[in-house]
Amino acid sequence: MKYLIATYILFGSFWGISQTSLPAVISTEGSSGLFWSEGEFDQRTQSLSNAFSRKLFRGGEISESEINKELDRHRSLNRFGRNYGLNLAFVPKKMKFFSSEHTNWMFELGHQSFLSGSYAKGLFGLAMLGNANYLGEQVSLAESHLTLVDWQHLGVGFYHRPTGSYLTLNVVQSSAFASGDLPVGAYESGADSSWLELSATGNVEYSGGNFGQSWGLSLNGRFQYHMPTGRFGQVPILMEVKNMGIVYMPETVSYRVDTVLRYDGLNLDDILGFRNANFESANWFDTLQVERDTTGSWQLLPASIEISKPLRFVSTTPWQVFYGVRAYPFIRYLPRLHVGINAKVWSGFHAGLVAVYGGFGGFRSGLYVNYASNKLYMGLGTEDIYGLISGKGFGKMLNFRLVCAL
Amino acid sequence: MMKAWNRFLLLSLMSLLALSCRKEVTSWKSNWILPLFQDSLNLSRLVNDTTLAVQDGAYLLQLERTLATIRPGEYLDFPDTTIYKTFTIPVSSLSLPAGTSFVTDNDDHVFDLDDVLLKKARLKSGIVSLTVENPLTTTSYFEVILPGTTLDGVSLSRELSVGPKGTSSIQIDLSGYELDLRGSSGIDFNALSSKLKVFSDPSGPNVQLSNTDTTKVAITLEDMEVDYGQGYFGQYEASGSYDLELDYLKDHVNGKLDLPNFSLDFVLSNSIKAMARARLSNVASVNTSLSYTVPLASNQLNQDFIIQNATGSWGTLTPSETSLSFNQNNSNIESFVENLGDRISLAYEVQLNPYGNISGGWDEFFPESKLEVVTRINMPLMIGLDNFSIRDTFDVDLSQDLSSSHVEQGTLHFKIENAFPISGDLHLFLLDDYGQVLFDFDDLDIPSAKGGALTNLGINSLKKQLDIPILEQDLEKLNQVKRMVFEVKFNTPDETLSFNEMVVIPERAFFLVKAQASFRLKQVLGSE
Repeated sequence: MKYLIATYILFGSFWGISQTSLPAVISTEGSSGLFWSEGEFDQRTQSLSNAFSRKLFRGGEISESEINKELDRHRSLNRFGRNYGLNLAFVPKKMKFFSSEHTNWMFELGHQSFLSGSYAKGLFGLAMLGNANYLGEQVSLAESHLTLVDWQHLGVGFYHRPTGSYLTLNVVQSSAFASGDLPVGAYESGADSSWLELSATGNVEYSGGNFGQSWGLSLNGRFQYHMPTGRFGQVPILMEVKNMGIVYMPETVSYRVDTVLRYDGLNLDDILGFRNANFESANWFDTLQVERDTTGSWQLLPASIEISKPLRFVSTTPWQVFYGVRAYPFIRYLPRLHVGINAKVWSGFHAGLVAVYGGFGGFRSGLYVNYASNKLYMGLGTEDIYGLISGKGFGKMLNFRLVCAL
Repeated sequence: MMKAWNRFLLLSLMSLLALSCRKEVTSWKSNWILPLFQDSLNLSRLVNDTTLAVQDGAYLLQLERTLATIRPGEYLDFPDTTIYKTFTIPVSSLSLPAGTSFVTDNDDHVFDLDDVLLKKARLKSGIVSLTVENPLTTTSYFEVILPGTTLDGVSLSRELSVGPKGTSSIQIDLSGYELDLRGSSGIDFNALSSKLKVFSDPSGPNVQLSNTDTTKVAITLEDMEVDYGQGYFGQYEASGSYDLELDYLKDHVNGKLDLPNFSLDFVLSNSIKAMARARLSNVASVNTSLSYTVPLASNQLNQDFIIQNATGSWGTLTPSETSLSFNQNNSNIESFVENLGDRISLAYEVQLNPYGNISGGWDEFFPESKLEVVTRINMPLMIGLDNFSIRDTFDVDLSQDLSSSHVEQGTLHFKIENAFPISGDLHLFLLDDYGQVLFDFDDLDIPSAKGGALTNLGINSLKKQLDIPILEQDLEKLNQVKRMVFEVKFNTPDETLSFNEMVVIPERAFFLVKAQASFRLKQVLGSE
């Protein structure tokens, strides 16, 4: 029993960290150093099939029938997103955190790219089919939005070996930032296409470019809490906070528009006026009533908070359930819920199933496998097995984790 | 420890490679319809005092253009002038008690205005600068008065206090000042009188002045422009030539234009209160396309005409006008006009006071005074066109990068409604760099309103749709287009559409054009 409790304390902390389809197991017995590497690629849409997305993002000719098929599936507002990154963490064996017996220094670095947004069905239809299909109709473009951030971080902090909790302070460098919001927007045309009208209220901001221009700070941390439940004993609850930070963008270009523009063709005065017209973009912005500004700005990183019930490594039952929720509090994001079941297949080998709803897409289900020994953990999983193998799915997700005891 | 770092780096590299991906070209096709042009062209915007008028429901051409304007204020050039004055005492030394005047000077300065003799003038602009130098070892006072330079009846006067052995300068804006140029005698011309008094400090000590001490004064008058003058303005002469460019006739290449009788007037208008002489010559209609010139022949040309002086005064000035009117009875005006010259040229001479100073120096001009040569054309807008053709060439570039997003095919749609009694036959050529015809669009006829239906404006109109297709197989050829030539052949057919006749352009006649483009766009992400 004593052995079981000790093992639980040492190992249990690695269960159920944020990549929900891939609970981790490692034996750190006799070792106080760690290296771990996590990578994730998650591309997901609510309405675009993988076959279509593949052509759109990786090349190919898209036929009109394919576009119509996708369009029929669209809701009035459609979520999409892409999140990929690689994070490396290192806990040196002999580097005690200020002589603390149970706490070591921890270093981490990583790259992350986060894209999240939603778009109106009409926007997709106009962009893909043109306006000829919408003569005499009003097409809503409202509620479309987009957030894109690419960044790298390098951090230092402490790692508490008995619980696996950690906290790091990171220097962040952002290589790209874009944000767009169109709360009000519509396109309309006359039935004989003699006029077009575009109404829009929204804004776009972007910044990016050279490495080393946009700096900031962020916090990453994980905290474990054992919740007493009476009959079931203590249930471990993990709270993981990532990328809680801000970045200063020295040159953020912002555009704001609040206009209703009706166009029914040029007239003679317009054409005669073009002879002396100055075609600088500023003039067009004036026509479209677009305000442009370039200033430095502080931007929040897409911080995530995940609360989950992880697995017990030393469970006496072969089956265990885990669940949790992840949210991005600073951006428009439907919280992602997950629930899974884990099975001990063989000595050191585990496999599991996970069901997920929310986030960038709708419902999906996945599976994972992992292997753990005293010195090594390897795991590979997906939360969308159908999307991974079928063109009819709505995204692809794959993650891995590699942990070594040093 | 080193072993751990090496493992860390190796794993990092492997992880990065796992995330790399490939990107190819994405393309799809979309269909668009856009309005390009929409306007109703009519002549109403030309209805004003100097181009068109409406009479009995039809347009009347009332073209008025000013060919030459001479304003007295522009040729009456007051030269920039500096008046230097120096004063010394005639004795070797003098002790000056406080407040003693040691320089007093009254003088007239005469401006050199050639043969112009002005008694009065008002300055539209001008600056006077005063610079004085004190010879005393105590403060002295300079009192400068220009008695004939007044504003609202008050003479220009300034007093400058100058420290020991010091200098002082001031500038005064003379805009609006009136100049009495009759001098201190009151009977001279172009003479501006000035008064100067210099005295020692009334509250200062006695001071010694020797004959080596010099009192200096400089009065500079510059940038003077006048907008009123009285006197004799001389026999100012001006001559020149004028070309009236009629660009819209420049592209005429063939056919005939028949115009009704009309008159061409040259009006010589004089709003200066001085007599003038004028002469017009070498009036010609130049057709540069055909290299043919028709001189206007009339005994009114190459003759001197006297234009009497204007009458009235401030606010009541009435110009005097003399007109030279050319019509079929006194000139070859019909052949002059029907030459369809795209340039009307003429030469003119004008002279003020051809008989000298017969007014006794009482010529007068006011701010609005000028001598003008104006041409006026009066003609009912009635026209006969018989295969009257114009042709023009434009540089165009319709090339597209076929490896990125581009228009694959499309059609230009023109919806036309013509309420002019004129038909047009449009022929459009698209040429390459070497002048080879790549596209030839004909059969683009715009029918005359004569064969159309009655509109609620009470005039006939006829509707037609013209389509110009661009096919996918023409894309490569379209990329070579460098020039566009359009040729339009106009006719004014009668009711039976069998022969051309003179037609009246009715009021409210219009030409409505709605142009749209429908096209298929191949959208390409990346590059092929």
